[in-house]
Amino acid sequence: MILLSVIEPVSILCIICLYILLIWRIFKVKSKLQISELKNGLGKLPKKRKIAIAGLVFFLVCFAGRLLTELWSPGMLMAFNYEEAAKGQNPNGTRFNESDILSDEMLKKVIERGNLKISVEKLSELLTLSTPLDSQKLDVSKESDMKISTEYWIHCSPRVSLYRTNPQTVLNFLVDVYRENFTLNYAENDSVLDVSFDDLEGMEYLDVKDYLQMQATKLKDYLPGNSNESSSYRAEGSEETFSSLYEKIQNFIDVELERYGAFVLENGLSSNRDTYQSRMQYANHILDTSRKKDMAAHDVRIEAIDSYNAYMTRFVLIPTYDEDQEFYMSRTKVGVDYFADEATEFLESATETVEKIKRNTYASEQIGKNNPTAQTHKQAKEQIESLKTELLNLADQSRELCDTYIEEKRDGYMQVSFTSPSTSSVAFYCLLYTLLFVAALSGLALLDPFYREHGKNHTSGFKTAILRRKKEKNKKTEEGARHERT
Amino acid sequence: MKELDVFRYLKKYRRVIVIVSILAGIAFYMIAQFYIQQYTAVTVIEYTGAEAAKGESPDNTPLDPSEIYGTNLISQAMQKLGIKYTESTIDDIRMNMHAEPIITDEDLQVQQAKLDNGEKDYEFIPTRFTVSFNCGVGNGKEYPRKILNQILQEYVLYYGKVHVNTSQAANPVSDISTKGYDYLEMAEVMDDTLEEITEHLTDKADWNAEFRSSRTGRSFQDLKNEFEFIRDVEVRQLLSEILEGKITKNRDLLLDKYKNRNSELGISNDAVSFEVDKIRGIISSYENAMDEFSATADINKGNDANADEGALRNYVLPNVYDDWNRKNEDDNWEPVDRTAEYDQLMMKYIKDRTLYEENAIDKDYNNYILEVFSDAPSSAPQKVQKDILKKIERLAEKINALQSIYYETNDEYNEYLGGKNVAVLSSVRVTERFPIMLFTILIVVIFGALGCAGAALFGRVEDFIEYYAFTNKVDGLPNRAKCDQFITARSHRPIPENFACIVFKLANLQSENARLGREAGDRMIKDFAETLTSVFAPSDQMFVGNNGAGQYLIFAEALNQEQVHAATLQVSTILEEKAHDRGYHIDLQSGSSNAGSEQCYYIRELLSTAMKRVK
Repeated sequence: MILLSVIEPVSILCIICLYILLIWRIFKVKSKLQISELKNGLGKLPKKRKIAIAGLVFFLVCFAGRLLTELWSPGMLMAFNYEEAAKGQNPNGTRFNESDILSDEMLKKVIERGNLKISVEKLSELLTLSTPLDSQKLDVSKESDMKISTEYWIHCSPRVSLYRTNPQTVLNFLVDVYRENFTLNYAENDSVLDVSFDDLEGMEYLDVKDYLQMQATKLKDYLPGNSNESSSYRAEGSEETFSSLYEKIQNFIDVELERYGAFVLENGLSSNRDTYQSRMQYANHILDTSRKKDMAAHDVRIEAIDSYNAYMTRFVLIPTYDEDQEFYMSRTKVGVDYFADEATEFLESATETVEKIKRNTYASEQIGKNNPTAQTHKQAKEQIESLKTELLNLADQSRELCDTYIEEKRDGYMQVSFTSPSTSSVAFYCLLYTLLFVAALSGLALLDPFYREHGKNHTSGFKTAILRRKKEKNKKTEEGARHERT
Repeated sequence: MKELDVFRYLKKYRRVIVIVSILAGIAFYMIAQFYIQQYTAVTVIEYTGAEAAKGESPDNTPLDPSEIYGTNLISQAMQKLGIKYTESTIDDIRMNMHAEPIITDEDLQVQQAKLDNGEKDYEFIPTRFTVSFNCGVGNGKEYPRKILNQILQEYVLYYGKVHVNTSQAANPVSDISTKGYDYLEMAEVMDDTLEEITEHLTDKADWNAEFRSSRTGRSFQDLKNEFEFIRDVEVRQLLSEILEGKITKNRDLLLDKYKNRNSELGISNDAVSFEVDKIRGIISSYENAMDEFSATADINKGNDANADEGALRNYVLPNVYDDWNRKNEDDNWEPVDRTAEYDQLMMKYIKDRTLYEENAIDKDYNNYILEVFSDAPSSAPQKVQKDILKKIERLAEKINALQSIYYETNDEYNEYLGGKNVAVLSSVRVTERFPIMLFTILIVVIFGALGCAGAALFGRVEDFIEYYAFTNKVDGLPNRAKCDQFITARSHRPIPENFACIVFKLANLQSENARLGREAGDRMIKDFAETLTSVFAPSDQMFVGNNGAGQYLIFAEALNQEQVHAATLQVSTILEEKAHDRGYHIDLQSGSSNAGSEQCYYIRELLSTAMKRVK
């Protein structure tokens, strides 16, 4: 097939040679050229049929060569159709780099996948990437000139066939590899919907609640991103929207997990009572240390506020509006304002810690005073299984909705198409070449009589001169011989 | 001598000029295309951060587009593209990279308008820059695009990491089990690490709750929840097991460490306590001094009824003091701390007092550990130690795995931030830097023009040489030397079929000279030469010369026998008329030969034949 790609350049070379020959002959016979004779010559052009046949053959060869070359080595258009592409970004907001398409990493994968017998460097030389903007010069003073291309032409040279493959195969591998890489690195990743319960093995009953809550929160957090963009979106044949799924997960946390937590606490369930109580005790110790520190910081600030000397500062009252556009008397802030703010923050933190301590104490007490039966343990395990099933169900629903939504929104992120050669365009170009070819042939045919005459004059004169010289030489030799004899 | 006629010279040398110009054009094109031509990859970026219009990055450092071609970024880009130093060096790339601000006419007009309106400090700060990279054509058109794209990729990542995102938490847990720590210390390190990571992640989740990594699928909130869970459940469980089981590698060493910690805290508190007392003293003195100043001011007020109001007016500026910035040594604006001295003293007091209290609380915690381990065995049984070490290793592995995900997410977050703050406004376009074809045409034109000038000069010089060396001064025709030169040049190749040779001879020149005088003789020669050149106009096709022996030679490239006879007859007729008018008698002899009719294709032989026929 590589020979086919040579047809066009050879044809062009052929035309160039013909024109050089034509110009050369015009120069040779220009002194003998007469317009009237040329006009007559045009009227009765010799070898018309031969020229027509040659033109037809030339056209057919050119047409076949070009058409088959384009069919065999098509250009590939990669169009990125996601929203961020027009901003020069990947779907995840990072910068889009079109050179990644032909990066060494991609080409290496193409070679591996296609088991091609070619090096990365060679393959890189055979592939080219261009954008429609390459042909336009960038004028930075014009806003309209600043455009980001979302389409990229990739062309593989027919020379790739020297490595026992063909351009289209290479381009197909390239698309596959790049699409995979693109999806892996830049597309939406819903792996958080792959809920795993492996860590639940041997976990305390109350920790199970926290773990499931964490997983449910992940699912819930994954949804709003889509919900903001299309809150009313529904998959075909489904009643679920992002909002409804969000509510379902929230209910799972607020109702089902809460109920399970209450059951565990009421029955004092624990896998290992001593260890759990010990952990709670230690946790409380740590929390209490933290609480003490917060309270100490709070107390120190209160002490500072109390000792702050009123003489040391002045403030100004500033009449202003509040958030509801009502008159409000504000004033300039002084040191004590900041101390008060800080004291409040520390107090809030200490209060949260106290709450945690209380919860831990309550849980520890409940576990300590109850002695649950095997039946209760069984019930708790059944509840865990039920919660797991429910969470998996929610994850599946979320995935289904998100997948459909992303598929519709992103439409595969990119569209790839191969150029099919336009027969009319190929025919037009070939016709153009043929016209040039026929014009050159006609010109040569037209000049042929003049050139022949010119050639005849030269040749006959020259031949006669040579013959005469030879005769003279012979004569001299004969005379010399005669002289010697005498 | 011939007249100065530039077109004659141009006509004569036109082929040489055209060929030389075209050859020069081809040579230039080939050299320029392979050695001078460069590809230019260019794109436009815009800094879009909130402070960009003030010329600042999100971290309040000045915008500096020259960072794009920083050595570090180019080195990283070269590594990623696998460019070896033998192919190109960092400096090769740096020297060919440019980042130029884009300042449009509209921007300048806005600046002028602002200045005209009295905003004397207004200065337009560009946020858009063209970034370009030039390189030779040797590596192909894709090379500059790859280089520029990769450098921008590195820059965006760098910008996000350095100017936008804060640092990420370190991970000292990675090799914790190999460091010889006691079990309690290992668990404490894990706890502290997780606390620090959680704090970092809380900040990041607050800044950008919507970010979710495409590579890991996690958001910062997800990661924070996972780290928190590990800390609250698994690390706490581990700590409680260690404390409950009083598991230690070396009890005495552990107790010594905690005792030492307490001693350090005691020393620190002594120092802090001392400082607190002194600050209290400063505050007290400061208050007293200020109190006295107030008293003086009150006395000065006198018994004015509006004293309080006046005092307030005197002590408080009527307007907000808005000159809150000043320029530092580097000419950059920076905020000025205007906290009152009294407040600063109070803050220092609070800081020291808080530290004192925290030290006391930490001491309590250390005492708790000392109490727990006071009755522990000097070293826990091997099996127990082995079990707890296994648990620690498993937990460390888990933390490391999650930390790797965190790092990967953070790297993508940096890219994301870079992309948000450094927007790309135009795709990278690769164009040829020089319009070689245009230059080639120019070269052809210039060579053509120079060739024309050269031809005129050379032609004129040739005219001079021709006149002084090869022209007969009396009749102005080529002399014998020129005739010989012409004959020699044609003697080695056959002449065409219609080549003709004519020889004229003025037979009575000497007698007329003697009869009418030399001047009349000269006149006669001139008249004859004029007539000859008017009938046989000298050109490329026609040579007319005087061979110095009283013979005039004419070589015509294309004249048949009839044309020769007609021309000879014409010459005789014209000369007779002239002789009659001038009063001298002319005896013209001529002989001619034609290559075709004589079947003689060598000039010397043809000339000899013509000479023999002179009569």
